Amino acid sequence: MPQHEYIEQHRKRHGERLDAPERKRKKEAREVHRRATFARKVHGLRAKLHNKKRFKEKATMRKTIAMHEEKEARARNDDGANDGAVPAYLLDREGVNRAKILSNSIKQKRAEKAGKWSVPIPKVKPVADDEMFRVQTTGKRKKKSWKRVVTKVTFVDENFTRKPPKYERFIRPSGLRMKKAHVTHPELKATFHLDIIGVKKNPSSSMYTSLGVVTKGTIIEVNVSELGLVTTSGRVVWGKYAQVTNNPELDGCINAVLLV
Amino acid sequence: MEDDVAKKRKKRSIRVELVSVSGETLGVVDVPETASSRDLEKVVNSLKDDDDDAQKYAFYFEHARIESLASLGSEEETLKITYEALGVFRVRRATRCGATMPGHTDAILQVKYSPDAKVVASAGGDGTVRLWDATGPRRTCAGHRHHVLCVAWRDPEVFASGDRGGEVRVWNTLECLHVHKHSKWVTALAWGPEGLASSSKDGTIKIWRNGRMVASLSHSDAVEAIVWGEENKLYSGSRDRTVKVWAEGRLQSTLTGHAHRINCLAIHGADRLVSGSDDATIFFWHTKARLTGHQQAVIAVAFAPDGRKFASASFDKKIKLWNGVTGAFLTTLSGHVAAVYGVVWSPDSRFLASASKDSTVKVWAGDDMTKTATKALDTLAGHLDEVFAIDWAPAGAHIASGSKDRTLKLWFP
Repeated sequence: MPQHEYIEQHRKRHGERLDAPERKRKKEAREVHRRATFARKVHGLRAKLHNKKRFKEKATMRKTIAMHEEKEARARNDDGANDGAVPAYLLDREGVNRAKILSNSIKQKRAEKAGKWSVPIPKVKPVADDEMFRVQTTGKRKKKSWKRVVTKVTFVDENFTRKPPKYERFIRPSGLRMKKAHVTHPELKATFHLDIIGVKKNPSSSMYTSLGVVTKGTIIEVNVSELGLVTTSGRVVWGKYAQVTNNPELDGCINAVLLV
Repeated sequence: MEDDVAKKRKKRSIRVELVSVSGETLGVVDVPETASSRDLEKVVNSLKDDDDDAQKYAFYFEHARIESLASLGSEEETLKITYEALGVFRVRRATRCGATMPGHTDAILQVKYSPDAKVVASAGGDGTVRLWDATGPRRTCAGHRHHVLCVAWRDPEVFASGDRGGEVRVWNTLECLHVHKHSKWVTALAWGPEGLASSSKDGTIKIWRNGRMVASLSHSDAVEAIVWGEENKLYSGSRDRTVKVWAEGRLQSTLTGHAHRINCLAIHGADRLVSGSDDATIFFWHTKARLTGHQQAVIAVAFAPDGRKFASASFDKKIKLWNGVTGAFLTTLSGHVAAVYGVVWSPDSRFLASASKDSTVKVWAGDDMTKTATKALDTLAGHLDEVFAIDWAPAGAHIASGSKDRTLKLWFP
């Protein structure tokens, strides 16, 4: 038995007080009042912390309620008359969640043809070298300064092996390496957590591209195999490009928009 | 006869037991080991009593098709060779896109060739039924107010169509003859000797003749598939997990066994009924056998026109072939990368074509029972989106396919 479970053990052995459920109910009923009193009374930094905590709790509560409502709504309209035309054998199938499954419809194709090179963020503020790199002084007297540490988020592919540290000019800190991105499909308005395959282009410099630096506006290639896209010749689409929309080094995660 | 030949040549001979597909032994003969399938054909034709001496046969040893007896067995043991009569005519398989027909303004949900194979009807999500011939559009039948889900031909002149709103319309070459009504969408239509049977989501099957309802038959849940059998019997598979057999407007029997909704039915001859279900199994009601192997819902089953095999298509991306007499598993055809939506046989039962969600149509060899021949013969690519419907011309090698990309494509040899 784990050390801290002595209360549970005691309850198993001797049972509970007869009025235990009643006491529990009363305690829970009084809890809201206690909390309200505390919220009215508290001020200063504690108030700030408390409000932040409550805000988070309420947000999750709202989300769960919305989820439950959505579930009910879906159960209710089993014959939605205004959705797309599907054959009789696909009608009325709950198991297939069609919203999540992407399809390469004509509309999407046309959009692709029209603006093949138009990306969601066309102009990006170039990142200067001194912002990108920190100088690492080396040598016994710390007077050599030819090493650089990348200060932005990088993507390093799995089969990368370091050069011997003596010759390693660019250091990509492992704390700033990322392998996954939150990729939003712009038409479905659905977000998926996908593996990054590579960095296709960093608009600031081609050197950053080869280093795998991910900044705002960078085009990355992501693994979309789980979305079930197919080409016209019937092969599964594996990699697709996405553009990064946030500042990963500030946010601690990569958010991107799929380029369709 | 063949024995004498063997003795004269002083060659090694093999004792062969010839067995038909249904398991009856035709005879045991000694044949030289160099005998080809052509020689075996002659033996079978001479042993058989019937007049047709030009009948072609295929020979199988342990489910693998063989062309000669060489390197198969020794003198001591008797080889059990299965023979199977082949169709007298052959069609060439479709390999290229012959025509792309735009016109529909929404996805095409079903395509059906007319019995004379001259016209193909397509049911569209835009509420029209369009008729096409090999060169282009022929006619647009407007009138439905909702997605048209199914069409069925009675003869080259008359056909019926059913829509999402529950309306069934009967058309001839000029106009709409009758309008019938279900309370929910129509799932299937079938012309039979008693008239037009239509099944619906509202749980009823209605039989219409000359614009009047003759019978209304009901399941306890949505009816998904109907087929007419011999002797005016109507078979219906439903979401309430039962197959019901109706005769002259009355329930004759109820077949239970499936654990989930029934999606599709196929029948050959008087009683060889097959049903596929969401419980990923197929029931072969002739022997009451549950055929397992698929891993997801079975969405379509189709009997080869000669009835020797049937194919099943499933959401698990596979097509499986089964023996049409015994129900034994033959082979799995894999190659699609997304759910398979439909499967059709060529009229000579040698090929089958499948439509899939991965936007391709694939053509497979249906007569080869070897375990290795599971790759597609051809991949007919060209559709830009999921292929919802497919049909093979009743006499010929053309395939028609309808897709979510709103085009109808005809595939030629």
